[in-house]
Amino acid sequence: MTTAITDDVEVAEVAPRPPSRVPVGERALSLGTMLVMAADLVVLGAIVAAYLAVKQGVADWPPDRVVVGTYIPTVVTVTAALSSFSAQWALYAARRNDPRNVATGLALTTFFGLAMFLAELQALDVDFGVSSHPYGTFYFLLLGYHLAHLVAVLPILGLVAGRALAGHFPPGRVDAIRASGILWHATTVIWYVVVTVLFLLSRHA
Amino acid sequence: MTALSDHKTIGKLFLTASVVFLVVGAGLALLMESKAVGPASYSQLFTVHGLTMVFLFLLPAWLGLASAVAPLQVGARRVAFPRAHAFCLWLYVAGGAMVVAGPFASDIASGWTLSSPVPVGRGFRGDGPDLIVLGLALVAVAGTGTAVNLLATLLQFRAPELALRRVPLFSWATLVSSAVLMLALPVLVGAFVMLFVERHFGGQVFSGDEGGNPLLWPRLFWFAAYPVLWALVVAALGAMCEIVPVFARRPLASYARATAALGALGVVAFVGWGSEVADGAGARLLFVFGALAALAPVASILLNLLLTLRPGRAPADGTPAPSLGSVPALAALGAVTVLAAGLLGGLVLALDAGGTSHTTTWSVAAQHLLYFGAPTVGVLAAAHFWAPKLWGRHLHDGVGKLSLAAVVGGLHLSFLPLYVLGVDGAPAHEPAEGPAALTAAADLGSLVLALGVLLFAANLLTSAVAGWGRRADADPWGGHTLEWATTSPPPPHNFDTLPALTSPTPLLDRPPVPELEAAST
Repeated sequence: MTTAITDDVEVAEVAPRPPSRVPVGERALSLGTMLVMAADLVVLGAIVAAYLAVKQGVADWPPDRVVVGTYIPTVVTVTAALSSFSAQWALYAARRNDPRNVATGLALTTFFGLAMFLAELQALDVDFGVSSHPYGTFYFLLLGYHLAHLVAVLPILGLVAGRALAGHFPPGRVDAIRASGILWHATTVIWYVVVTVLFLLSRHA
Repeated sequence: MTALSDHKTIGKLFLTASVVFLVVGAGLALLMESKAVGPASYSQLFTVHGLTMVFLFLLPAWLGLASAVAPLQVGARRVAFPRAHAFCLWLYVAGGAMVVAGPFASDIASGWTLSSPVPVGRGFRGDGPDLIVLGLALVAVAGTGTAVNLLATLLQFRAPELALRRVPLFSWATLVSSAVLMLALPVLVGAFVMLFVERHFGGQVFSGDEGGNPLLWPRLFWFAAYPVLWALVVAALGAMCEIVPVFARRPLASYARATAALGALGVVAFVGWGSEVADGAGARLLFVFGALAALAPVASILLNLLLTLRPGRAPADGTPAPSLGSVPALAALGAVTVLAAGLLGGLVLALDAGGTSHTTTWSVAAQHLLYFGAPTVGVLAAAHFWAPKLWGRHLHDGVGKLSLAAVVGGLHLSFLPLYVLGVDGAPAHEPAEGPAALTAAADLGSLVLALGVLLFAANLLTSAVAGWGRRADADPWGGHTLEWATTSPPPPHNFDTLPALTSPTPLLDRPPVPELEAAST
């Protein structure tokens, strides 16, 4: 307990505590990632809401001449599901302090992500464009939205995998791995929304 | 870059930049009031003035205050992501510059909601609309990022014994408003992306030969804008809940009710109001209940503040306590009067859903007082209250009182006549017509208001930012919360030691001095 003197009155001040009590935010990165991805899903929500509103006002959706097929979306969806397992594998390995399996799980996830990216590029090769009709606009908007996520997330996954292999994550300091897992799971969720909206809810899929 | 890892520096820069944009917005208002511009230029000025005041002044001003103060209040040494924090600051500055530059590139006169009309099609060629759309998108991303950062900081970097049920009310308000901003601003980002795709790649979302939906833009915009505006009100209420008790020299009448009310306001922010875009009786009924549910917490907090205004005990250290005549206290009380005036107008709007009051100047007055007036006066109060802590300098008292009188008086003078004109059926968003005395009073009020905010900006920039103001002690007001336990301005790591934290007002928990207690009674 410290004291301070003011004029002739001795005043008791609050007891100082050692700096070790200062918070360090051990899970700040994963929490921050979760919040960013929540905000990201709201952006997607706005686009999907617009899609549904526009679709409601159009009798022929998608237009008769549009054929988008089911092969590529199915391949990407199955790959996304597999990648979720490999990402989770990395997270479990991180909790067990097993850097080799962390790196393997994340590398596998990166590989699956790359496969999704290439398949989605194929899906962009269709006989309509952004300006052809509203469905075309949303088709490219939503696919582009997911592709942009893959472009941003895959290098991060690769980087975290490399750092895990190099032993940069000591026991108990696995928040970056947790955050990359959250990032990937959110990216796959975005794909599930995209595939539902663009392919499952459209008449000619 | 090193200096910009400090949340206080970033917060101050946010606030300073927002005040610079405030000067721009007030200057545009003065230009509009001068009647020296034609109708086309007036529409352009009106568009940029509205966008500037909401997205470039109010939003970043509150984000800046929260960034600087909230981590101090919860005993944090830094924000969760300092570099992202600095990045968001520069995104905001760049976005703001693009918005202001927009009208210089080419014409845009769509109103601050960009919906009358939506800037797509042949009438909106040129770079002006693009600059505004991209600029606003950057500001929205910056706002979202800062909100996420503040949330992560408040949830992860609080002092260990400071449970959420004990955080100071401004920090609690920051938590609530950040959550609202995090969920509302991304809707705007999505809308701006779609608008950009439509403008540049021929997309068909808001217009188009094969079925774009022109009603979509206002719906998306208002779905985001109302929560954003409520988030600013929440932040202002949080600041008032900190300031009034300090100058009343007692704790807030009910901390629990205030936290509940702020939390409730954050939740109903997403359903309150929006009658402009509601079709059908069912939707209108929903908005009646939503609006009433949003107004009730505001009324509860106002009552809480009024109950707090009773004589309190003498400060523990024997220093003379600041009175309710101090500028921060007067500003907080001014904000109470503005909120009360907005609340009454809002109550009528809520009960008259679908009625004529929504299309007259009544709605203009209620919305301006509630959503713009209260947060603006709140910024004045908060800046006067926390400037001594953040800059180590007081704002000038005399200029502060003058600017406060002009802002609060100008708000009442501008908008109370619009209530009367609204009762007579004067249509909204058109030059006010009616008894000459009322329209003249409203015009004079706008002028006084603009001069008041310019005075405030000059005061902040000279007294605090330039460092010409009176030097401040560590705790010049006898504050109740943790930020007053460190030096003014605080060191980069905020605290050398943390005091015991047993309540939201740890400094008020210091034992009273018996001699002074006896003398005060």
